[in-house]
Amino acid sequence: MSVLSRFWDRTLFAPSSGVGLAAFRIAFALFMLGYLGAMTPHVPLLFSSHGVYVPYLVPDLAPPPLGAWLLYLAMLGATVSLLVGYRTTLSAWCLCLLFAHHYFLQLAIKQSSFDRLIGIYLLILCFAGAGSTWSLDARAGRARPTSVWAERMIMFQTVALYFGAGFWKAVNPHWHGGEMMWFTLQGMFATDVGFTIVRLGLPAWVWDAATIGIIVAEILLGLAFLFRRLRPSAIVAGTFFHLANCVILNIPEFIISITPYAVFMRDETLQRWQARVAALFSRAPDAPPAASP
Amino acid sequence: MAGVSRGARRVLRIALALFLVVGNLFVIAQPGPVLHSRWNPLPRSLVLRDVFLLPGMFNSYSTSNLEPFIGGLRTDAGYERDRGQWVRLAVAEHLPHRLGVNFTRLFAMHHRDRWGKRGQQRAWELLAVRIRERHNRVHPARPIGRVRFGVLSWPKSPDGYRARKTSKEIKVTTYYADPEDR
Repeated sequence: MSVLSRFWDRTLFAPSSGVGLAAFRIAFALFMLGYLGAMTPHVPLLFSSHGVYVPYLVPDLAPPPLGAWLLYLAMLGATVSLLVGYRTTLSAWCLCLLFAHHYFLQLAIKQSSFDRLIGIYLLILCFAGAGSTWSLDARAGRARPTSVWAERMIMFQTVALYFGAGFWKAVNPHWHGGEMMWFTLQGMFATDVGFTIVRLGLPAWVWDAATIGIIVAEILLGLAFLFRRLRPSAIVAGTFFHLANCVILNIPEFIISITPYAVFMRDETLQRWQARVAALFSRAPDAPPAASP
Repeated sequence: MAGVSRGARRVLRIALALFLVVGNLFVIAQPGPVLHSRWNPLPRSLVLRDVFLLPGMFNSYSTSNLEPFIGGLRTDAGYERDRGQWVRLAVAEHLPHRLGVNFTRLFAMHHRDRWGKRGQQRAWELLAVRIRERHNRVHPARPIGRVRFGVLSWPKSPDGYRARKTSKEIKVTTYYADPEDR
């Protein structure tokens, strides 16, 4: 066996329990249900030939409203199927293709990072074998053992996401002072909490420090995920960061960044959580209350 | 993947891994401000940038707040009172999302980034067609012949998004207007 082949075997194709990948699959599918579900009231307007759309890199061929509904519902169906791990790989491919259709027809025009992230995760899931455990496929005995490939890809993407965001800010002159954050918290994505923070009248050095803090935090977060011992802290810090972002900025879509945290967690931790959730659903109905004395 | 041999699956996964790693590093190493710098030795790839442009959010800021507007020129058909006049169309009928998302769609952000002003103009022309068709379908009694759209802007204020949205401070910027001979 060649050195290169051994390298790939060790790095990408070592056997995996698939638990972290399954947890990511479930978290990601739940996110997608929320993200796509929010579009339900506007399906003909967004995705049909009767709507308002500008395609990106694809021919101007939107289906009529009924067709748009069918494609949209098929996309939701594929998401549910991915969530429960039914024909997992096929579901991932269907969702990937259907999301690509909706993305290039309508969503691409707004140039969103989170849409790209969805695309990247879907591409990984297509090749992941993500139904090896915690899935209907596993229950039915259809699941195959999986390797660490997908988990490594998701890990790399997460590190790149944070490090890249921090590095870009570090070299961007707009991020070399507190004005960027001060104006952003009064802008079109700011929530009432954002405006309230600005109204506190904090001195300029606080905004400068907070800006530097975000850059340092993003770069360190990316690097912290590389080290096993730092991962629990990175998960807590990252979760806090994204939840805080949701409170001050009206961009809940970036919650997608939390979904891959599962692949950084220990199998035992995930299994303990899974057992608790399973217990919640499988608990026998409560016995009737005893008569009071 | 079931019909694909184990060897082919392995090769596909290695290829995808290399694509993800190279693509991410390529984009991270070319941040917006230094992208066009002559010191940047990396070749430019619109494809990789399009797939992996994840760190690009909040790269600049504005001192103004914005609100999209859409206008339509009433034809000589249907309802009589506003014939031949520019009327305000309900933005939510055409752009149903929250303010920030509506703005990025109306600005045709992706088309602008990829093809520059010319691509943005083409996107706006198509957007105007869609808006006109939709309006005329939804409001057959008040058809429009031409469309224009853009943004109202006013200075930001800690007191609220629209705190300084007053007639004195509002500035109107028209992004696109159908030509008169339409």
